[in-house]
Amino acid sequence: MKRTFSISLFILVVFALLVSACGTEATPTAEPTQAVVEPTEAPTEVPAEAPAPTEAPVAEPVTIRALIRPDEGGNVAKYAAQFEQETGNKVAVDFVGWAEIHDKTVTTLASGGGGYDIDFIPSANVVEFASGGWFEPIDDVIPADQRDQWLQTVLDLYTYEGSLIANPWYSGGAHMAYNKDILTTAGVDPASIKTWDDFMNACKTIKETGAAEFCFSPSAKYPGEFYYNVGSIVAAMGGEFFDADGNPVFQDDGMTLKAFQLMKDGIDNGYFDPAGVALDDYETLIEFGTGKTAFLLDSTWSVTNANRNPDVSQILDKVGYILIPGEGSQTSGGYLYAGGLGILKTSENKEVAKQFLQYLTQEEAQKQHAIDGANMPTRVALFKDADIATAWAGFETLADQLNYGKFPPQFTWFEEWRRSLATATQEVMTATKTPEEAVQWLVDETNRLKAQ
Amino acid sequence: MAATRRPSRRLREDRILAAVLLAPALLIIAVVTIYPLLHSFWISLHAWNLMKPKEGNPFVGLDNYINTLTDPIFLDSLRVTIIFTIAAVVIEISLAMGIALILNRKFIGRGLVRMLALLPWAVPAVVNGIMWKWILNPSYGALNGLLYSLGLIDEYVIWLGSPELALAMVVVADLWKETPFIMLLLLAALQTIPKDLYEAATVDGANVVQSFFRITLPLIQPVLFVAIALRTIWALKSFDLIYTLTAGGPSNGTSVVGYYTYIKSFVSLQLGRGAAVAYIMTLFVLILVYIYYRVLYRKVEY
Repeated sequence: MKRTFSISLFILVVFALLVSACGTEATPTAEPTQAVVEPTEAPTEVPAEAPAPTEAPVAEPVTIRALIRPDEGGNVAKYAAQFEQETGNKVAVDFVGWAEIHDKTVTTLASGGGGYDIDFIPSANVVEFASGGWFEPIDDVIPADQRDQWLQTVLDLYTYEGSLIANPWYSGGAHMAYNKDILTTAGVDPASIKTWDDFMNACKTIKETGAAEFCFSPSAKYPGEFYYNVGSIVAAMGGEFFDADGNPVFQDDGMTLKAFQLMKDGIDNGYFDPAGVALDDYETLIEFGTGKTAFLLDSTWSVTNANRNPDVSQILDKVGYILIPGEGSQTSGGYLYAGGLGILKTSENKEVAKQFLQYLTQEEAQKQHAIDGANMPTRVALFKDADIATAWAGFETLADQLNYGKFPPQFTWFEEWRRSLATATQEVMTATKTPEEAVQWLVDETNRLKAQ
Repeated sequence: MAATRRPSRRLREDRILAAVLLAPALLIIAVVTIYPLLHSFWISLHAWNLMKPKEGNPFVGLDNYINTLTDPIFLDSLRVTIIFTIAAVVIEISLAMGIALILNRKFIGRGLVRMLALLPWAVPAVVNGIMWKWILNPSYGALNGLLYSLGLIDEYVIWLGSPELALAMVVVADLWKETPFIMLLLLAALQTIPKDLYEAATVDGANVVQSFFRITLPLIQPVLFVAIALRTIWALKSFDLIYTLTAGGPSNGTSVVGYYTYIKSFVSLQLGRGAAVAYIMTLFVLILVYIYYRVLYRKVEY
């Protein structure tokens, strides 16, 4: 009995130690805000020239935690370091890639915030993320008398149930770029391309002259490619997918059918690369960068980098920009995207988090973000900034494109609907369905998703 | 008489010790397996939307199951999963058996070949998917480059461009990764078969094919059952390869049930639906494994 008791006691002690050890380790993760009580370094004196915060500096330096996508890593790191130096508060950023950030954010929000103070909110997920009531209204970050300094469409996008729930950080959208050499060889004047019929005529000429292997490669692998294929084409033609209640209307105006038909004709005639069905927007950028295609319909980042980034393009300084072709009286159109930063209601350092948001979205930071990161700003004044215009060849056309753009609809089921649209697009591209069948199938799918 | 019924003091002590020793493991299993299992079943009976906490999680009975079983996308995913599973398991078992039979023979460099044959299995599934994504790229993929340089194709093939071809390529990528493990299992089983059985068969005039079907196959049947059951289960719950290689496309042509579950749970955020799909698949797997067990499993005696 003594032996049993000794062994049992030993096991229990070991187990208890293990459990307590796990508990000690887990504490910072489970309750990360605890860490803010004790700063990891001595607070530095706030310099006199530091940007004026919205309120009196907090007495005790804290650590704020942010969940942000990595594309802006350099910009965030630079201004976080400055913020830390000037306020004494620390900024800990977890960067999560595009492929995972949606799922990571969803689980973070649903599990009570995961100890984060600031969360990145992509434009496609505003309602989805905000509908749970996890974000703090931050109307005081951009007071009413300063709102005209910001892009109104982006402010509207990030306003949920009457409250601003994220500070607009950057904007962007779908753009059309072309390879100057290919168009010159084919004898196509880019200025003559105003409508999609003009575009297809240009493609015909490019094909006949053999100036490029393909005129265009519509990326269609992922649902997010909605921006760079049928989605933006329909928007540029003046079509709508939904009414205000989320009912499908795309079967009525005929533009979705026309866009599907355009994709089919492009592939059938050899103008469009059929491989686009299996390519994402980065891969079509690579194709364009090798001179395989004459046109590129892609993001602000992609079309800009096609002209200046040797890692993704071999046609540096040979890229021009036109507005995405329109239809009839519709000059142009396309879908926009944006990035915003929201503050979680569970944050214990809301005021410091607000200070950091203001710091990261101040004019100078946005300007550097635009120049280095190839994203459009959200402050109106920066659209006329000479330094950005110098850094970006064709900035005027790219900025002008945003005037014709709109944001995707904000339904909680939109993410899944985009998947259905991607399926319909792929089926048209692979001739699995006719454009008419694809439209009808998409109507049925939309009604089914909406009813769920 | 009473003394014989009551366990001895030593036996009682041993039982207490055994219980204490097992308690931590049981506690962990209860927390990480049994509780989630029961809780996910509870979730599957509710309209549990992660992004609508204000609406609560009302009890909906079997609605999630009914909605899943009547969803045409789910039925299509089930069809794709069955095709994928049959193709992957049949080809992998056949291929693995062939390789195992070869590697069971003595030849120079056998150790090195065995080691090399196992390498693909050591590659993580996600890395495997990304690697095959590059290999199959229609513009600069290695497969197109190789076939073109050998003169086997006139123009580059869009390997992931049609639902059928994309599914075939997913099976190929799965074969490359999973065959070594099955081969390892079968090779281990082959090495347990006494050599004198083959010698006796040879003396009796049996040829290689007869030896294989009369000796090898019956004697490795328990391991074959394990291999087929494991591979079927793994194939039915395939996700990472699809996620990285095709994202279920094109035209949902490679959207298996595992991917559908992910979409419902983490894209649509309908955890109730996601849990219901998972339970439907669990039931499906249990039935399948039971059938395998009844058909394949035999106690082997030498």
